[in-house]
Amino acid sequence: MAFVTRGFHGRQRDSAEAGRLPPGQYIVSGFPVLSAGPTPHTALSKWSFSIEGEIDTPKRWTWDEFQALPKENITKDIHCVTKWSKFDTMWEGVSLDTLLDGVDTAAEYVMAFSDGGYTTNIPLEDLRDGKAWVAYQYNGEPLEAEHGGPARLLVPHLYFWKSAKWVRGLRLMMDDEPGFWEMYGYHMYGDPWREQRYSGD
Amino acid sequence: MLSEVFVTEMTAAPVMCMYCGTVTVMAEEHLYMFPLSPGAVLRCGTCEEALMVFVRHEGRLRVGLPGVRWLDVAAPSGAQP
Ligand SMILES: [Zn+2]
Repeated sequence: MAFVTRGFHGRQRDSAEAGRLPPGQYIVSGFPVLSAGPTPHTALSKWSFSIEGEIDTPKRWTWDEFQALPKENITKDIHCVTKWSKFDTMWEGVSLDTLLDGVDTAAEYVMAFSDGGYTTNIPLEDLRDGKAWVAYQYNGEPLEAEHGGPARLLVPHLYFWKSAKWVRGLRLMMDDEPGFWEMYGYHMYGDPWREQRYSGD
Repeated sequence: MLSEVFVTEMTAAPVMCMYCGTVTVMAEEHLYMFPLSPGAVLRCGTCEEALMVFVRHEGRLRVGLPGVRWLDVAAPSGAQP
């Protein structure tokens, strides 16, 4: 726990932090970079975001169309499976509620897919009701490529490997299927409060 | 350093990419997320596809081979196929 930050408010702040920090995590002030592959650099003119799979009419937005969608400012704590957590990260992006608005599907799961081939699976209901976004700004600046720019998924209530960097779309699925890390034993759901790091946790 | 995590033969093992045929020797320059993460990925030095995936958990190392045509390791002494 060498990286736990301590503020000037002593116990009060410590107890507040204790309630915000999931088990097994420590707090960082920086933003560690961990990528499962080289950083892709997709030109915005070639970028699009798609919703496909179990949907009658797939949806697709170009970068300009995506920027014209209603955007939200988001301040959330994030928790990485490598045990760091970061409080009050500030993002701007489009809510998945906006992207999924009017989508009529029997699907219960999605596979998020990214440039570079990364995938991760998430229940569809975890993307609805103000719980998930596609974020393209961090701290008031365009999201840097090393942190997943031009746009990344942001699902802060799950471990951060579910917040796919360089996200390009969602494939709606009837059944849960493992994504890149889940295929090799990472947990299918990944709730940091239940320490769901590995299958069986 | 790698040998602390992987068995010795594997750290020097040439691996052929099933996508482009390049033979990559396992080395840190081709490893991603090592050693900070419980998972790591070995990528092809040419096409950057994932060759091997490693996940460490409770004293076990799971080795996935999503992009490997073959892996070349020293045979145990005296062993005949
Ligand atoms: Zn290759």
